Amino acid sequence: MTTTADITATPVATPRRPRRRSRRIPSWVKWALAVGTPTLLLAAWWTASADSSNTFFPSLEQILTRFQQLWLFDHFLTDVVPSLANLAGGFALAAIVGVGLGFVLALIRPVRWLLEPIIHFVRSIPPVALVPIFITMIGFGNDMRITSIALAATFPTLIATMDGIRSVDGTLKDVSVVYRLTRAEKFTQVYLPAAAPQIFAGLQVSLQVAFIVMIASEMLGAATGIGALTLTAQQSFMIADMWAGVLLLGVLGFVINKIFDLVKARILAWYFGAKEAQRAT
Amino acid sequence: MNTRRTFLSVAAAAALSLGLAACGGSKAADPGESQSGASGNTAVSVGTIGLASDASLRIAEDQGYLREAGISGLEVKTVANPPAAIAAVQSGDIDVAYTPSVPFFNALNQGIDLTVIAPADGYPENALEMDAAELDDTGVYVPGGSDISSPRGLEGRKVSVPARKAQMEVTISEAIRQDGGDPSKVQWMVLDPASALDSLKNGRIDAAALVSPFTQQAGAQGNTLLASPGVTFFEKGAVGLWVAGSDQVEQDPEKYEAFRDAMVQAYEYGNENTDEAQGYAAEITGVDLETLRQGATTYWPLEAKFEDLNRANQKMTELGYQPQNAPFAEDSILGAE
Repeated sequence: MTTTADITATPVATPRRPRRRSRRIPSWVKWALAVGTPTLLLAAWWTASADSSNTFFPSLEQILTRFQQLWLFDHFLTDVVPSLANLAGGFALAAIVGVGLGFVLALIRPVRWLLEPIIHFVRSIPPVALVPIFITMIGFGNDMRITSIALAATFPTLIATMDGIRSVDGTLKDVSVVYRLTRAEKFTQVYLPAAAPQIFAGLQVSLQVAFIVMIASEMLGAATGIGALTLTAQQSFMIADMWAGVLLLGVLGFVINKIFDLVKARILAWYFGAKEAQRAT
Repeated sequence: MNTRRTFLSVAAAAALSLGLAACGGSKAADPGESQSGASGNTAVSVGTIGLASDASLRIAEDQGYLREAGISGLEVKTVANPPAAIAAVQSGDIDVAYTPSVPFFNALNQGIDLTVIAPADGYPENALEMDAAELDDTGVYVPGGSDISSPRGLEGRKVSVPARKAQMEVTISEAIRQDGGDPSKVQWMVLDPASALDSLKNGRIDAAALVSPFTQQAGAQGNTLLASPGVTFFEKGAVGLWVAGSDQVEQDPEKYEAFRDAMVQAYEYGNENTDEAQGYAAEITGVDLETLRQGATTYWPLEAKFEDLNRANQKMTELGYQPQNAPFAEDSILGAE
């Protein structure tokens, strides 16, 4: 059977361009840059802030000391893990609803006509503004936090999925008809793989949104979580603690994004392979 | 593609880190941007959080006290919360900031050098002999019929506060301690006043710490006032403060003395003309005048006394909200000997 990868990867009869000799950068240079640049920047920050007398911008040494005291691992189980669990729960929910609803809206026109205006209205509301409403409706526990994250993070995936499905190549659709694929087969073997690059782009935006709302949702309710601790530190003028929280958020954001990139690269290996092959021809 | 992306992310990280590093090395912005000297053309910018006690600013302006003191212009900026006001005063964005005493001591403890210019609100000398509910614009409310009958009963219960480790939490902790309870056993929840009232109604929290005008709303909804923690904690004297960066005060003491003198005159007027003051308060807060009249009456002490403020400083240490007393001395108050 012809798969999306096969079709995409099929060489097209285009005039052949003269092949440029690619200058591959050795992997050790990439590693050196990846590790060396942040190290140099940290060293610059450390030196420049060493004699800081500004309360609002303490030295990096102070910030790192507080980072170690707070997060490694005094507050790890009580604050970091609950925040990440809420993030994972909310994002997973958003991914399922976003992809599922995106498919339905893309494929069933009447449903799209019915729901699209409402979706665009709700997604225009800043998610943070909805937190007090969620508190009124479902309280201020983890349910509220997960719901807030899920609602905010659903829309980028939903829109991307709709666009992805609607832009599936007509040839692919024809092929699936000729091969008499069942609805389930069309879904799993044609539409989903074809729309996957766009869906993943939407999921990546959803992840960023989920991360932001994770922090915002901790501003109210029980004062647990990275966001709650960072906010309390800011309001109590514990500025080094606040910077340590900001640093942790930066590190977590970076790591989560990297993990997402790895998963994306693995699942979309066929797609990146096809693009690489196209470039090579 | 990947290489380009790596370079872009590295460049972005570099810009961010260098920016942060540069900030780390910098000193606070040069204060005293506004015209200097109380010579009749001095402008003062004030950061407040829009409380009823800000009526004093309107009185000072409308009664001409500011002009008499040599202040030609008053710019009032509303800020989100006291820490934001203190940050603004430190950066030189404003000349004077309103802050309750607890954030003031938190700031001093973290090395922020502030000077008290004048009290901004508080209680009279005989506050402990008076009805606390008539003086205190804060209150702890429990649902009607609750089994909690005293502050000690809040142990182990869910109590909402507007912010953690801020004035309401500290004052309630003192009320619990004075009642023989252990404040560390309270489950504090951060809720905005509207959510707190709703959660109280739905039984999601056991008690709500509220500030006027939400105290009146809580009473109207059938909730019971459990305690007026402000009076319990402060006893008498200044509670809210007008503060400025010590460096700024040192550079232009006349301006701050002029502001203080004008405000003291406004306080005398406001304490004697409560109806008029409440009218201003209604305009500032956007709360119905009748509702305001049902709540506590704002009182302005004429002087910020060291012993009153240091008592609060001491209590914060005893309650464990600061590791040691904040570095607060008599010369932390403008004009104090």
